[in-house]
Amino acid sequence: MRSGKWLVVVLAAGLLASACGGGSPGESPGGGGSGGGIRVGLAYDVGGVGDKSFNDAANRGLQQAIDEGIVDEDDTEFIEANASGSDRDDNVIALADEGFDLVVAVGFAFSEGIDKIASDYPDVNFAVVDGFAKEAPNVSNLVFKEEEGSFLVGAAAAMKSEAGTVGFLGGQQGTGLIEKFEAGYTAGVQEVDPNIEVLVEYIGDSTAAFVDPTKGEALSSKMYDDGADIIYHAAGGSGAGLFKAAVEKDGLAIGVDSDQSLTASSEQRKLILTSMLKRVDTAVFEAIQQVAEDSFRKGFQTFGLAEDGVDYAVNKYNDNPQLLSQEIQDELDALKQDIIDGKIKVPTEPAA
Amino acid sequence: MPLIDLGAAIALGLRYFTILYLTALGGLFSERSGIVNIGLEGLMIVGTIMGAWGTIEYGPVAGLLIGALSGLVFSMVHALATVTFHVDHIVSGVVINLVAVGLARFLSALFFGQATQSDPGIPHLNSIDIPLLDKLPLGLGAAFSNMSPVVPIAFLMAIPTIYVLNRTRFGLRLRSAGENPEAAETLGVRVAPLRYAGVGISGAFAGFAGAFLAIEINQLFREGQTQGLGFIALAALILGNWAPIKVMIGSLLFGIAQAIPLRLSDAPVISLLPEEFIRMIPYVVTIIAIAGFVGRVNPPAAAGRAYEGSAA
Repeated sequence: MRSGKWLVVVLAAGLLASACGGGSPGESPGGGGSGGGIRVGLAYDVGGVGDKSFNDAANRGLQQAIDEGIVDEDDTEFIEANASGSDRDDNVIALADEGFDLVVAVGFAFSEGIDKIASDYPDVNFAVVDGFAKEAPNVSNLVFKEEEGSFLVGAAAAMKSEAGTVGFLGGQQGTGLIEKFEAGYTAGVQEVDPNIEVLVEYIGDSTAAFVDPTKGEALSSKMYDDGADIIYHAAGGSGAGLFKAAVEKDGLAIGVDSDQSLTASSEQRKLILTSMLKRVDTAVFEAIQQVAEDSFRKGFQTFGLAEDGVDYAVNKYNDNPQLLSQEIQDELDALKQDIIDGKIKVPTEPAA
Repeated sequence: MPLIDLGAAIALGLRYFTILYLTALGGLFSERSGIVNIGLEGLMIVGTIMGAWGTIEYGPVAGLLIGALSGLVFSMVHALATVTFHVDHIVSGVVINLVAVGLARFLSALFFGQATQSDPGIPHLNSIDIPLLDKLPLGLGAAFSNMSPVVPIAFLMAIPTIYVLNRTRFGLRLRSAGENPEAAETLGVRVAPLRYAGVGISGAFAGFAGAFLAIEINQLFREGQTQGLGFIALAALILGNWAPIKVMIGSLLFGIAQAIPLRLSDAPVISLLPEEFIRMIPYVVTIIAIAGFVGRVNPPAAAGRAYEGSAA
């Protein structure tokens, strides 16, 4: 059985290598100074710092709080979830045990764990990005009005469309979340021009739909072939397929969550009209500020257009007459004001 | 139905076919040598990450080859476990699939500075048009134009595979190791090295298929992009009864089935079905094909069985 022992060693080495992929606890690289202020811990979700998405956006919120002197860099710490996310609860508990004043959990998947953990640490405040954790005196769910941002990019698509047909590429169907994006987008298109047709395709019914660029490209190509000249995606990583299809079919595309012009390839970004921004950084910054000012808001905090929680992206690549002209931006800003003022109500469910 | 959709659907089906057939052909070598390989998905994953890195560093041809080489190297874990240490083939295959996910994430952070994806638009081969076929009328030409050169290569791989299995000393001995290793060994054939070779070839094919997916189809590495295609390749291998041409037909069937919900959802008849059913088509086709219409499944007789060898 000597050989059996060796196998165990080989497999253990392999599993170690895979565990390393998940990431490990780390302290933010240090600046000096000693603040008497609050201490903030962040529990990142799968992907960790460097994901150019959710986790990085949360990190920007933390950095902003550091830059504005609300929290001292030495008083912050983060832990990244492992590849499968199985240590989410442990990471939150580890941060809570260290006695941080605020623990920010970056991702809806932390919600159920926080339900169980929060009552054990009454002196710690917990904030969950996109969360649905239960009501508790020390828990705040930071949620977004994705439909409002989607409304604006839908309006932009309608103003820009020459074909009279635009498209929507959704990721996972059936949870109601991506349907919010679709509802807002369609309403935005119709606000500008009720005659424009909106083609809708969903990739699938499971979370695998968010990491399938092959299907994302196939469905986008189909919508371009069927006459759409602009397509908006809310399909996570599958959206990479939309941008590839846009290049091949010479159509326009609209990104989601972060400003995707910045991470696209040079030939793709010429075709990215704008992106629907979900300002996770704003939400995280707000939560930190509230704890610092002792005004932490429990329950659900909603970040819409009025709170700078969602927006459309303007950057050095799309701020020109070929893509997002000044006239379009002016009209979008007027619509934005109408939504903030309550003159326009944006639906959260697609019309039947 | 506009016929242009049929052409586009075939083009998409051929992309899926290429992934499935290359992976299944590799699996064929492994299983004909007697080693069941359900780790094809994991070997593909290693091909996606290494292929993406390779094409960024050295160009698409090198990327595809690096993908194949990495698949080969990684498959040696499976060979070591099953051939040398007699670990259950299924258990080892599951381990391959699990470790590959973590390994890809570790390498992605190393190569690209982000755990789950590379930047988009990585270097790829120039696409080709198949002469004559690309001029087919009624939009069908779209099926054969703007195609990755790897697609026809996948079809052509059947030829060396058939030749090696039926006409070479190596191929015949490989098959004997999978059918009756005891008899092979009494005739002086060393079973273990042949099985290592069979698994290694499967790793190279699956790694190449993964690199093709990342480089030629998606033009980026993205965690999860293999979408379980390694398992569908395994189904194509079983449907094709471990024979190269039949496996090709099985892979074509599954490839086209993948394309139907994506490109033909508004075609006649299909459009009458509820959306959920249309999305089920690839899986329903797979299950019916495997469960109902295969006839007699005839796996290599010794596949999945550990061979201790006379020298043990």
